[in-house]
Amino acid sequence: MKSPYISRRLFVGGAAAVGATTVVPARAFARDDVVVTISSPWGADRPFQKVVDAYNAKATGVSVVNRLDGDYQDMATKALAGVAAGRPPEIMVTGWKFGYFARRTLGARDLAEVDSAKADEIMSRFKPQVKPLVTIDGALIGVPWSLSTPVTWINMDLWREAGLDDDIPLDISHEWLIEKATAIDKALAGKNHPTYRSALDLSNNEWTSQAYIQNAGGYILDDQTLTCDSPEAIAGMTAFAEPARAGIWTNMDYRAQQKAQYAGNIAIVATSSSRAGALAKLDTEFKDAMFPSLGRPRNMNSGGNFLAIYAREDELAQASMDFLSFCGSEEAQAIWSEMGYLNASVFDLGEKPLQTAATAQLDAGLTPETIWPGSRGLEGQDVWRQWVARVVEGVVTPEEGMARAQRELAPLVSID
Amino acid sequence: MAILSVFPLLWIVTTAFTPNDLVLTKAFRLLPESPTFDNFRIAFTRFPVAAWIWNSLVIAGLVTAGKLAIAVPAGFAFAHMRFAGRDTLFWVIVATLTFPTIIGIVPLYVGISMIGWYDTLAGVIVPSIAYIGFYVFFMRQAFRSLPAEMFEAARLDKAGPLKQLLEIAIPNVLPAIASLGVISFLGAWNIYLWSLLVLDSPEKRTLTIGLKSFIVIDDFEPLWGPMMVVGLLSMLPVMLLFLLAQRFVMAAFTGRVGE
Amino acid sequence: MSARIRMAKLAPYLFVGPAIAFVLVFLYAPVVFSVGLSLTDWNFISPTMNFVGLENYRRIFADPNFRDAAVNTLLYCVVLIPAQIMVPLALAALILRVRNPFLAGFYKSALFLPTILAYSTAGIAWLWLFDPLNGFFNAALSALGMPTSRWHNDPSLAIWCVTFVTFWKNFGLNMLLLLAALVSIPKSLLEAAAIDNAGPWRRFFTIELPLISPTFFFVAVTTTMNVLDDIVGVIDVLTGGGPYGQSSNILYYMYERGLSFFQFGQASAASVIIIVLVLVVTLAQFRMFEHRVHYES
Repeated sequence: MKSPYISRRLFVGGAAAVGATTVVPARAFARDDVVVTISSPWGADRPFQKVVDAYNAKATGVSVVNRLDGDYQDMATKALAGVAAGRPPEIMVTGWKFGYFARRTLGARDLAEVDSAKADEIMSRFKPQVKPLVTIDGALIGVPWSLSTPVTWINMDLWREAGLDDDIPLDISHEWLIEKATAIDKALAGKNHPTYRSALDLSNNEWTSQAYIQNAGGYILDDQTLTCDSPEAIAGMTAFAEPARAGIWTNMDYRAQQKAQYAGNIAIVATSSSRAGALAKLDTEFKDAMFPSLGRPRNMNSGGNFLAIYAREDELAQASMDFLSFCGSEEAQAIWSEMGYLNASVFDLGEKPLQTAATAQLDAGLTPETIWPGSRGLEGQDVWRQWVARVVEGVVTPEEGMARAQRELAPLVSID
Repeated sequence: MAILSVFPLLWIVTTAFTPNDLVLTKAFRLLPESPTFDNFRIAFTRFPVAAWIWNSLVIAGLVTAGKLAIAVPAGFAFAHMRFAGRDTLFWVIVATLTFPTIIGIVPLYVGISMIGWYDTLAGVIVPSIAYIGFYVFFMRQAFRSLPAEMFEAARLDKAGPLKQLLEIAIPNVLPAIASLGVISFLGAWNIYLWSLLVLDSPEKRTLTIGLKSFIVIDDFEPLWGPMMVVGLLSMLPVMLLFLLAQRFVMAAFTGRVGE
Repeated sequence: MSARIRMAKLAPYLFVGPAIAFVLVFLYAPVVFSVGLSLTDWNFISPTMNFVGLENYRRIFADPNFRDAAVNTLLYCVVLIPAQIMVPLALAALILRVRNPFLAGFYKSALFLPTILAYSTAGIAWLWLFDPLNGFFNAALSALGMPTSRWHNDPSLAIWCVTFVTFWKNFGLNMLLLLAALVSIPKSLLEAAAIDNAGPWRRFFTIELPLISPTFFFVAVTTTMNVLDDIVGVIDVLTGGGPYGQSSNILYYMYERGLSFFQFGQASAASVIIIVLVLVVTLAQFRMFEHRVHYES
């Protein structure tokens, strides 16, 4: 007579088991493993998961769990909550731009302090020029994991339909870009084209605007002094906003822009080289060119993220170190290279599609992206983005926008 | 107007059955081109969607149970019992109807973190139960519709207050309780901002915030189709519940509110 | 005193106790703590908490984003509160006059449906409709040969997109409440009025409307809260307050200050300001309706 009761229990148990097995695929951890959680911007469908799975398959006594937490800002927010609740993620994929925030506010560990021999060994597997990117306040706070730089992506289907020449130079200028975008718009706009909607998009964010400013000879922050209102910076921002003012750039948020580029709606997009992995998979043919120059030597910024340890207990920190050591191996780098970032390691991973322009920029030397100092770095980036948006929309002139950005940012970057 | 109001949802349904690589190419289609269940497979194998469904059910169920467990006796006491401070206490509860729900979010968040409820379902459920202003008000109205003599007779029979509540009052207002239950479930199923803040681990999320994991943040291949599957799953249960329980919900409001 | 009598005296407090405890701990206490936090410079993980007086209030009043958010809040209220009461009232009155019960049921369900959706679900649907390049609205506009729009990406339109989606998502509940009130009006009253030759319009304004005034009052009070509250979810999924704060409101401002940037002092100061505003508005509504609400028996 007990059978109905049992079957209901079984049903509930079954439902819970289904839940458990689908939570994280291939998670058959040994019971006494040390568990290291990584807060990351990548879900279970991304190549990063494969790196984690490859590590877990080695059964080293450390089990790694990859947890998708959102974009860099979402992750930093969650990490802050975790730190306050006394349980920070052991490792967090930390944006370069939040380096100071990671070290000074979140308390990212100095890898040399955790295990100096292992730290040296890991860093020996990365190109020497990326080491400064992970050195904050004299401490080595992470493994340089993802390296990108802004480049120009051209949709070749639209390009050819507009009757333009297939022979695209690697090194392009801002004038060239405007000229071609205008030509494309003239050829394709207003003709009920099935996909074409906009000629150009320079990405309305903190990063490509920085690239324009640096290519004009300026900086947003020079060391830790705000110089975003310098004549060079204003010249950079003026050029940056020009296509939007001329009507060939339909300004929109980053998410909509990405979708539009993949759908073949935009002919030319200047954005991260890390789109290489995704663009190479699409049916549409894309071609990469260098980021537009402003008639003087480029001074290109980089972007991406590093793997930093936030674990406070020594056992967890050591376990995290073991995973980071794997991340520096050729095996891990080979799996990871599928994503589309530049190869920051010393290993020869072979040529990847659509990385010619990015590699050329890397070889010419990259600066760090703006690293927002102070414990209020998160806010600094937000304020900067807002002023970039206002300049692009034309509600303020570049002169006024940059001057006001400088005034608003000053208290945020000077605190502590 | 009715069509306009349902229209945005059609796209979610259509897209859930459209192969992922076709999703982006056209702005509008009413029926999916080459319909497929692939998106369901991708959603369920790559993301802990089953756990999300379970969590959504647990949260909506327990919040509802908690609200009813608290609001029903309180409503009864306010309707049929005499005690010092009754009116003041009643207004203390009902005045919370005018609190914007996120007004105390900062101290609550700190508190939840301090007692170790960050990233737990309890952290979502327990504070959510507190929004009972409407429920207490509503239950008082429902119990008031029962004649006082009913309880006087019970008192003469030496039935204690608990017995009066459980054996006489509640059986007479079951439809009202059921409709409150439905309303609470619908609301708790969709708790958004607070779960977004409190829940962290992928397997602890709910459908409504799991949906956010699909909104693409890196530059890799976007999963629009599977995202719509989760969107569809997040709306199906509440749609069905509403359609089935519509009579209750309507009855709940008929002539009762503001009597 | 026998145990039974003691129990009888205690029982009401046991019955209302949990309800009181929950609202005190989770609703009132946070408000009190907000007042305290608004006078400090705490940022969540810093070990020190200093008393800074009214500095946080001074700062947010000096913040152009707060001023934008405050102006937007006013605009949202001015547009949405009347719209979310009047349109549902009109719809309820219309549905009441639909004879076919199946059709009436369909209208009711269809119009109520958006109300029960999660913000994230509603968000993905509307992001598609509003897509700045290839969304449904733009496809429709260009098919008709009209210029397209950037919708929520256009700084001057963003606030209207948020307004519209908030309306879409919320009018259903009020419609149901008002419909229920209208349904419960005794038929005899309306028939009597019809015999007196009162036209449908006059009947509506002189009989139906006064009779549902308690519900109307309830709807007015809760809608004010919903307008402040529900916008936050819509803003979060649709615009994130952007472009450059053009679609934010003060609750979203508070949310951002507090839980994106962890400036707890400023966030708490903002919430104190909101509480004061809400109190003022609610009191005003009570005074306005006090003498007008028609209570049956």
